[in-house]
Amino acid sequence: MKDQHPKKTYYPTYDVMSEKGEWDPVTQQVIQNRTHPTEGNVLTPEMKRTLQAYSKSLFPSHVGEQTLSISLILDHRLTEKKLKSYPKNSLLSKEEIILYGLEHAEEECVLTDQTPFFQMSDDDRLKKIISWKHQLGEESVWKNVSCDLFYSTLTSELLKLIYSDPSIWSNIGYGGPAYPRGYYAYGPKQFDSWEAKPHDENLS
Amino acid sequence: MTKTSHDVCIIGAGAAGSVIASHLAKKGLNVAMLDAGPHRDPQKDFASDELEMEKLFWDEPRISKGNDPIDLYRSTSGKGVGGSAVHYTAQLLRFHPKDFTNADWPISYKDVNPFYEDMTKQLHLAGPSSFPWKEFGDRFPFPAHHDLSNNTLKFREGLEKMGMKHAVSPLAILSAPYDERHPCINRGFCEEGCMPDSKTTPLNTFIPESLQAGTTLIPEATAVKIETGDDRKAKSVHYILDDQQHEIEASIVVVAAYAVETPRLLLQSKNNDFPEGLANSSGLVGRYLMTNMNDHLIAKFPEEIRMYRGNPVQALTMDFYQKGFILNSYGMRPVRLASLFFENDASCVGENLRRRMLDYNHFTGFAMLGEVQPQKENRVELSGQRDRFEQPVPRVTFSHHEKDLSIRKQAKEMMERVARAAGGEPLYHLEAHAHLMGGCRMGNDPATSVVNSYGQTHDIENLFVAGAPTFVTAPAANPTLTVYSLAQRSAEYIESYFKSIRS
Ligand SMILES: Cc1cc2nc3c(=O)[nH]c(=O)nc-3n(C[C@H](O)[C@H](O)[C@H](O)COP(=O)(O)OP(=O)(O)OC[C@H]3O[C@@H](n4cnc5c(N)ncnc54)[C@H](O)[C@@H]3O)c2cc1C
Ligand code: SF4
Repeated sequence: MKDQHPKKTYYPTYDVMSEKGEWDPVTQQVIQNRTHPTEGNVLTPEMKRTLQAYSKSLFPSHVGEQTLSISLILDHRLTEKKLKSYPKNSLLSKEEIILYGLEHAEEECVLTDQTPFFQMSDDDRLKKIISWKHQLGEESVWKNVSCDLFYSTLTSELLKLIYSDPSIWSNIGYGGPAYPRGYYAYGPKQFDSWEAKPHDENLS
Repeated sequence: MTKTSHDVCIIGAGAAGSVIASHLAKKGLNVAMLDAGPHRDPQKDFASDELEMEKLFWDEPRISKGNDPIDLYRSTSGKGVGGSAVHYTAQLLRFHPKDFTNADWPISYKDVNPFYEDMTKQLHLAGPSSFPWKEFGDRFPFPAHHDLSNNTLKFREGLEKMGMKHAVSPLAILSAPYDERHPCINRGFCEEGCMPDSKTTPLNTFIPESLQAGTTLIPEATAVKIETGDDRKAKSVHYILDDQQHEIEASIVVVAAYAVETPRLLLQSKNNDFPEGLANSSGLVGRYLMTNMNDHLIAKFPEEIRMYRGNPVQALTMDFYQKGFILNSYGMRPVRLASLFFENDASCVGENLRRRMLDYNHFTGFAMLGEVQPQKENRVELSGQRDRFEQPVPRVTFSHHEKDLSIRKQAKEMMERVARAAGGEPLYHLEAHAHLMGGCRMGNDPATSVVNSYGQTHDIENLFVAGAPTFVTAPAANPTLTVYSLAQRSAEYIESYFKSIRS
């Protein structure tokens, strides 16, 4: 199928955050903590730089649309012990995989390119990430975790953060938090007034 | 360390544990119930947010291996008082009479039916006045939900055009006010825990009832060992709370810790009298672990659908049950959908993912729930790794039977046909799993099963297993009405067993 997708949102005027006063206080606080995260204490400054660069390379056009500080939030989640569980096919927790992996990623780039990951060109960074995805990292470096497990684990954690960003919600026209109002307008072409306007109206 | 004494100690305050605690406490037994997670208040501890509500999932280490490793986190298990039922979608169906007769179940539909009827009332099920498949549910006390999302309307339109039967799902979600609780406001976050408390879960039924009847509930307490006495009976439960080990002595121990932690606890409680683990003379503790296939089909429509509106599962067809699957309309929120896209296609990141997700509001989501064959090789074992309590981390091995895969294929084709019939373009088939069952299967023969039909272990008469681990098969109907019903049946048996040991 030929890809004729507009690269732009259908909902240029919709801002889910304009409704935040209507959300319950707990959810308001959760989103406030996400958009204004506090410092965690697990990631080093080098790891944060690697993470930001990784996210920028892997989700290029989400950047700019995206408003969250991925490295601060991930650090916060690691500090709060939210990544204790194991992904499928792994003998390590998500936390261990990400921490070992960020170290190894940096080691490999210094070894092969004599440059830290975040200072590499966009193209070179992407090539590195793709090599990790295909298990083609430097064997001598990836001792504590395999590079493909690092790729799949970190990427799936990052995309959760990206799709928890109110700015991305506005972008895709998702209604976001919905308590205590819920949804009442049902029937063809019926939406509630606090949702994104149907996009034929939105674009006019 | 504290040491207390109770008539009954229940491990796990989920769907099964809470039913048993409530019944026994009401009958005057002195009950203690432990749960590894907290006792949450929906108003204070829940939020309308996917990422935040990951805290409901089981988050302790579990190794998942095999040809088709199962996600042992989000879509299968919960942690905390109320168990996995806190974030279930609450479609509650009975199993078909043939599910019991075709396989090694030691009970028939007739044995379970009175409990199905009772639970239908106790859980305030809402469903159609005339459900086309009566064996799976009948005479619902609350009317069917009537605010159907566009996602559901497309699903029904497709089935209608294909000449298939369809109905609004029987749901443990209030469609009208009950007591202090409000009906569903179509918020859509059922799998994140229901803030308005419209969804019926142990948290608003059996837990408060059992507390009122005097149960001692100990949240954030992880059971690590069941001790047996010189008489080879269960004697006490050791648990960790606030980094301290404590002990509860009990005349009866009930393990209701779901399908991974239940066999794990029996295996890790091995001692000189039971060197292979408790209740494991058959060697089957941990064996025959099952799940359901729960694949999704995402189709694109010219008009806006907005699958985030309304509870995720609203309508179903059971016309394909004898083929091994049912179909549902199934709306997803963005984090879940984006995660499934990536899990199923590693190239779906960056621009690819963004391109797909920009169409989010034009997508419908349909899902199949597929039967899975019981296989001995699919199991829970103890690994060589240790967790933060110094206990062996469980290792789960799961591989599909070829029959499962043929069901998956047929269901995929059928979902695509439904989407096309409704005017959509089927685009993405996303494989996933839901529910866990088995690991301590029931049966009449101690050589081929772990417990009898009441959950009493064949080897240790005062040690019981309750809930999904006792299942013999994993049919295509959602399991939890059967979990609640069998738990009530066990509770009544345990009550009479207690009287017999006390007289
Ligand atoms: C996302 C999702 C959607 C679902 N949707 C449906 C649906 O629509 N319909 C349906 O029928 N079913 C559904 N289910 C399945 C349903 O939730 C389970 O079948 C049911 O909860 C199983 O009951 P149980 O009592 O056996 O286990 P659980 O309800 O999981 O309870 C087990 C409890 O044991 C505790 N525990 C575990 N180990 C220990 C330990 N060592 N010490 C102390 N406590 C411990 C856990 O914290 C947990 O609270 C869904 C499940 C999920 C996750
Ligand atoms: S859709 Fe209904 S049942 Fe689900 S979370 Fe919202 S109010 Fe609760």
